[in-house]
Amino acid sequence: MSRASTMVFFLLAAILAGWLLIVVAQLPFSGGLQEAVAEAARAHDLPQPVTAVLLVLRGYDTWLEVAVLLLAALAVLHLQQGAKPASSHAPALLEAFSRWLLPAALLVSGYLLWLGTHAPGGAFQAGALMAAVLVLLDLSGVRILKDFSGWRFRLLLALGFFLPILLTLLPLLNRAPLFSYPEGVTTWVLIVEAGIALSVALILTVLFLGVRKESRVRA
Amino acid sequence: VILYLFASIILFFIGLWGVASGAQLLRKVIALNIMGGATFLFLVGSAYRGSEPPDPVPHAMVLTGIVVAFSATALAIALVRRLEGTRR
Repeated sequence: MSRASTMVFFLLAAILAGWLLIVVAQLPFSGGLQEAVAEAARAHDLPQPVTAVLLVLRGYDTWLEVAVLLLAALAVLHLQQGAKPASSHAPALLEAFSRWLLPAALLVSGYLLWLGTHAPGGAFQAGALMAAVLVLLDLSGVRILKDFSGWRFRLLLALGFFLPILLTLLPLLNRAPLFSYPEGVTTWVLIVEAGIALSVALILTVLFLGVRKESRVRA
Repeated sequence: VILYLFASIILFFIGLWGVASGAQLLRKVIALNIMGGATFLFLVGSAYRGSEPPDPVPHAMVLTGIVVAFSATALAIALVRRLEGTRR
């Protein structure tokens, strides 16, 4: 790309940024949605407003977010087909440390999952933590996920996608709308969140290892 | 609060410029990530208003957005790697 066009892009972007600055400075701030969310959270016995928004008010969004993750993981899996994982040797200390870390991290991620019902936390945080440990284990040479093609693995991968829709189809039998939870649903939410967390952990691990494995082959 | 919003706009500008002017694909992916981060900063910044409790809706949106941005980045990097592999 030539220097002149770079300068043109710089100027255009700068004009846009200046315009945005002016607009934002004049932006009127309304009261926000705290009241409505607090009401919905109270009705569903979920003291944590962010969890209430994610699962009660924006159930479709959260569900389809898992779908986006699943699609990305499937695409990465397809892109890395044919690449064979090479064996790598990590320092023994790292391997031992990871083995010690695994149970502690599983405990903490379960705690985060449970915490999501009444404090900041929840399925995606718990899943991310689990994924971090899985990636660390793989980096230190412990192969927990040997291949990504077993049907059990695929089932777990898709669990976060199918569990919420199956559970939220049940209200339809009582002529209630889709994604409407019965009152007082902490257990219900925990089941849905556990499924999502497990899938998120596996999907994030696949995303990382899928990208990395190909690089290892070529190196 | 307005400071966060202004900072997010400047970050967005840096990212936009990087996407438009960068020749390398990896640089474009990183620039897109910077733009995404700027958007999250804007949303979280706009959720906080003085002494009131912050608005949970933008927080939930950012939480969703981070996950989607991560998966999009991973897919983009996988595609970049594949492209580099075929080019060689």
